Amino acid sequence: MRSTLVSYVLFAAMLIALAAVFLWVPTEKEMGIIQRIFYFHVPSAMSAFLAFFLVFIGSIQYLRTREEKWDRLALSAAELGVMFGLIVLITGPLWAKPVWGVYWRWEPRLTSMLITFTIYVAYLMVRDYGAQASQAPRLGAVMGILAFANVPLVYYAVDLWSADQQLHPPRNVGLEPTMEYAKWICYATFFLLLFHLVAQRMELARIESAVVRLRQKLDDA
Amino acid sequence: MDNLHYLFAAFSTVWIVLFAYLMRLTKRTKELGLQLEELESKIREKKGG
Repeated sequence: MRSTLVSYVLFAAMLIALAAVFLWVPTEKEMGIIQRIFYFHVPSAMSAFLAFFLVFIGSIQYLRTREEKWDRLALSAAELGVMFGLIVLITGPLWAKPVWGVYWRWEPRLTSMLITFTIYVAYLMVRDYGAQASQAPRLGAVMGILAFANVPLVYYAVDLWSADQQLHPPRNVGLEPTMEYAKWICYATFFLLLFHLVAQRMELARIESAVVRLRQKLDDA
Repeated sequence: MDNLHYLFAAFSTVWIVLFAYLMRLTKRTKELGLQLEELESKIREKKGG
């Protein structure tokens, strides 16, 4: 019931976000229409970071308590983080080509984001290959904690390396009020989508565990 | 309007990736449904014999 209500709210939020991006915000003067990629590129990046933070929290809590729900949170959030990360890594070059003239350059933020994405893909591979091993959640938790060290590096990459190596603009570039509102509408929509999908994926993981346990019981009986 | 195709490609990417993920979840849910049916029939067999 609650899940259905969230789905309706999410659907409405998506429509509002689409209207805000394509009907409401003015076209940016320098970049033109292509700047509208900003409204789903940046919220996707922030959603990926939030998902990786949930992996971090879930991993710490799993090591502390050994409760399966925390492991399910970490695994589910990692999947969603990789999904949003993939969106970032595809939409970024599509925005870069008309603005910077190249799809890709090995500049700090692009490179650190690609490394972070690869590490979380590796996390999912470890979890997948070791799905039947009892140590997989513990190994995953350690990886989930260590991997998070990359996230601040990506976020602060524009400050940590010198300006001549950067293509990305500095953080907190001022936007005009309409654009700022649209940005926050998109953030809210993407975060709601993230939390909804994490909840759905966690429920699926819970059922998977129950099926495995039931199968073992039947085999043992 | 020259860059409209980049905007279209980027916007499509969001939906395609999201759709692919949801398809994956649906496939896994179906697989679990089949596994549950198999387990139910095993339980019935055990109870019956």
